Amino acid sequence: MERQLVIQRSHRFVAVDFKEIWEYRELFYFLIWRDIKVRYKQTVLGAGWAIVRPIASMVVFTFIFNRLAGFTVDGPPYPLFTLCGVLAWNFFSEGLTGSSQSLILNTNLISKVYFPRLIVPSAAVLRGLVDFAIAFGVYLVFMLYYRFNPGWPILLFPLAVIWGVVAALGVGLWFSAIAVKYRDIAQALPFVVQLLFWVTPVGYSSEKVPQHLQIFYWLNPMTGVIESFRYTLLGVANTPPSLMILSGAISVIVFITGVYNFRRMEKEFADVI
Amino acid sequence: MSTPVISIEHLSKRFVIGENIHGSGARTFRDIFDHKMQQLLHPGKKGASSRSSIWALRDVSFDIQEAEVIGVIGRNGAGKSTLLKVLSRITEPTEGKVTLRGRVASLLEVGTGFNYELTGRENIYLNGAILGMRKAEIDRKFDEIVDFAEVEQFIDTPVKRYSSGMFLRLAFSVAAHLEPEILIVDEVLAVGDVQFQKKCMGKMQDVSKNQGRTVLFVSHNMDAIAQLCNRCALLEKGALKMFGDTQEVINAYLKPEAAQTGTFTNQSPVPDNAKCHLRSVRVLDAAGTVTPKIGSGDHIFVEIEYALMSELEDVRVGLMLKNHQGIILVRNGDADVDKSHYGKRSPGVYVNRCAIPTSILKNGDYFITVFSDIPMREWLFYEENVLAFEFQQFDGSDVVFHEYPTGLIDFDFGWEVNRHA
Repeated sequence: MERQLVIQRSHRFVAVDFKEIWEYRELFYFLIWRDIKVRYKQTVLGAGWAIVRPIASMVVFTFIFNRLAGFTVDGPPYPLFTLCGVLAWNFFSEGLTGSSQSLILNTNLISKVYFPRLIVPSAAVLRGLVDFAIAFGVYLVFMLYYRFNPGWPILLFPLAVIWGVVAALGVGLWFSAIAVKYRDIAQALPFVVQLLFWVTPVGYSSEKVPQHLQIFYWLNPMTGVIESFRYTLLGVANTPPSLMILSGAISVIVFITGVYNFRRMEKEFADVI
Repeated sequence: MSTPVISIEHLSKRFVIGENIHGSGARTFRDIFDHKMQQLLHPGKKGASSRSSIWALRDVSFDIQEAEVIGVIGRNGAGKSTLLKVLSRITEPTEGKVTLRGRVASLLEVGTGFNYELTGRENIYLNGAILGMRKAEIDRKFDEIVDFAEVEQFIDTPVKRYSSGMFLRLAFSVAAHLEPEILIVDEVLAVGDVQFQKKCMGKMQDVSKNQGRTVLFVSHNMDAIAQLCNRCALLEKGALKMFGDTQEVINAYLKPEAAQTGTFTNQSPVPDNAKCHLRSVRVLDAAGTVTPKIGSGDHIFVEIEYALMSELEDVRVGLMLKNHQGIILVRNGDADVDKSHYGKRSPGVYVNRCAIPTSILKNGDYFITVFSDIPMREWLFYEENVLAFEFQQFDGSDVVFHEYPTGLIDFDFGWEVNRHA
């Protein structure tokens, strides 16, 4: 007998079984592959949408914040500045929306097949990296066009991306687990994402926020993610490290509690969904 | 005996039903708000009063040895699917434990995770991964899977353009090529046309007999169970009623004790709010004798005795006749045939008598289900397989040419043989 498996009622908190997730890595891969394949079926532009969307956002945000509101930044050209924010924001908002709905959209899998449930929302976040890579290519083109040299901080860019993944996955895990039981999430989500957009420095700089509100502003994990993108890609370093650490700590806390809450709630998924 | 491959010990599963906050069921925040308000307004009442739960499985224990094929049978709601879901780790047991020794694959549905936008080829890989196959394994078996499903020409066509038959064949084919040590299967043989079903049965037999896998198999098709399984578990209302030799268990399931006498008498008390209560059911031969064995006569008579507690409008009392495979041969009620039975029926005790022509019956066991309802509105009673009778008529008509299959019923077509001049 090669292996033995015991099924019984589990404790309230269960640690994440990384070995098992590793065993199911092919399912992980196939779920991402399926969503990417299906996403652009029967579209004319196909993956071209991943190029069109960030450029359109960049144009609109530059027009509104730079031309109409008159915001400026020291150093990089404004379009590059917003595109950098859009890069991080689109990844986050798509990852959050996708993962929050992911369990509900895969009801048939949850109720008929066993696999580590964490795979579903994680795949929904990570599949965004493909669109992200395309958008990053667009960014590089604009960077060359503006002949902008980001300097050595660009070496830290992968860390900023990991931070973005942690932030999106943390919030996504919370929402996806709750959405199984409470369908309110589907109603609240577009609205929450829209509100978050305005309190995140996508089209403007976090410096514009009044001093006495800064601490609240930086409770948002995405503030840190976007400012770290701007630091690594544009060399913009106007943030006190303490606020960066605050935003980073919040991201990690949301992520860890998100994982544990998910593990706690996942036992009921098949019965409730 | 050696160590069992699957051992199930005191397994129980409780589902919480109804409107409560800590139980199951999708709900909105508004429900919680309402619930909290109720608690504020009526502090005496605790949430517990609105909580009700059912035991889908109750203290089930049995062991399965290596290379055994075990059938799980029982009526709808007996806990068969819940048992398979617990064994497949989809849902957790409330109490007890299961020990599995070996790689498990479960097939609770054909085509889980198929995506209609993707092609047949893509779906084979996707579904294979969902069922727990490695990519290398799928690569190796790909041609075999396509071959078995008979969809070579359409393998690069999106599945949404498939006929339902093709879809089912492809889905079953992927699942049939799983190679686990323990296979858990829920009612998946009932797909596709007769020819394909035969092929599936063959595949199942191959998996169990020739490849030495342990299989746990739920079905309502007693023929399939009898053909495939060594031993059988019978579940009733969540509890294991019997576990043992397949034929004995099937007999126990299909033939209630009442079958021995030809009479069923309802022992359960009349509920307070009952409108119509079943009292008894009897099978009679042409001579009017109550008996479970019928050997002669043009008709078999069934009498259903019931009491109406109050005046009811549009009530219907009927009967369903099933053969030994559980296939429904006939189902109708008094008012279906003669509309004049609709209308008001005053309170009192009634006996409905109906006749089954023996000329259509083949020799074998038959099962009677009785029901009463107000059509499209409410059920008054429904008793599944309350009675069984055995029909054996030796008039020679059944033994002339014994070819298989010969059909579910039998009657004289009234053949005329005319030679053209």
